[in-house]
Amino acid sequence: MKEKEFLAAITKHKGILYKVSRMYCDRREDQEDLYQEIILQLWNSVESFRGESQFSSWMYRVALNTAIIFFKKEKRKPDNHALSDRDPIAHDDYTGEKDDQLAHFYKAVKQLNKVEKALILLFIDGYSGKEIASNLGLSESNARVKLNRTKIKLQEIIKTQGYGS
Amino acid sequence: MDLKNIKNLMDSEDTEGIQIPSNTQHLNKSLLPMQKIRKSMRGEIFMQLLCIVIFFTVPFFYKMHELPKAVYLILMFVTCLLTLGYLAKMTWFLRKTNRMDQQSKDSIVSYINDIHITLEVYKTAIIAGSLLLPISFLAFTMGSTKIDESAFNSIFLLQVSNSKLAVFVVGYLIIAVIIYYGTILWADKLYGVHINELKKVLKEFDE
Repeated sequence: MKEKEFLAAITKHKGILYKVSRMYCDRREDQEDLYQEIILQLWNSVESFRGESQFSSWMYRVALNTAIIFFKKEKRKPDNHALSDRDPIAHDDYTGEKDDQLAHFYKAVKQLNKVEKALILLFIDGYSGKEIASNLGLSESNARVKLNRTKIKLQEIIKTQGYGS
Repeated sequence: MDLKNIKNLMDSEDTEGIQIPSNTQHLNKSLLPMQKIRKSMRGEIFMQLLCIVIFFTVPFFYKMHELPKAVYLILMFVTCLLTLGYLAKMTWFLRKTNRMDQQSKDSIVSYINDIHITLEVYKTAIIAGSLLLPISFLAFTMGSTKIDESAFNSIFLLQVSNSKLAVFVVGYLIIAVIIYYGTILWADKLYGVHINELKKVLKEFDE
């Protein structure tokens, strides 16, 4: 795949970049670093894309793999604690009533670990247990158990946040 | 909370903030631990190759007696072979680990295993090679034509007093211990931090 084709393909599916970076990082700067990193890793791995699967599925896998092992910039660490406590509900992006649910979701997701975030994101995007297992390198039964456990954990966090009560 | 509804809300989010670069040259440098390890290795391969060239070139610009020069070159040759051995291992590692489209857990496990094997080869070769360096250095300094050749011969033929010999042995052992721990610390500082980050992620897969 040539550079132009590649850039056109990722532009077409940039929703994946948004979702993954939003799921894994709260701060805009970190989200930007992450999606830039994902694009870089996609470009580094593009030779291995042979068109046997859909580009979006392949892109999703690279994006998640990158997000799972992505660590925020060290120099921002002193601010991280304070900022990680920032309430995403007060985030400029989430002012409307219809976004309330999404804002609570992102706030709850912050308390999940990297693998749990990947499980939830794949589940939300409609991947089957088998596909989730295949993407993450888990056995199908293990993926199902982990996913169920994570869903319960997420609902409990959301309840503790007081959403829907 | 209905997660199906979350999908719709996520899909309808505004993605205009995502700026796709106009070409891949504009992409930022990688922050991934794997890429940091790769970058350190590339730098190290370059530096080691440069050192090899310098070590072999210097005796041709620096006047030395024949015997110390031969000893120096032989020891350097052995050191370089050891160095080239782990550089080859590092190059293998760099070629093997440039893809991100494998299964998440498998790629992390395989990466950690590969880096461990590579680092063990690296530490062993650096320690072995470095243990020859003090002798090469001694041959180099005492082999200068400004110093009488007999001084070099007496040391290398062990024609020195027992107390002097003991000082040499103890001195060498101290240098060896410093080299050993220095190499371990250096490898941990350069690569260990990033390996630990990956191990933390791997632990999350097993929780």
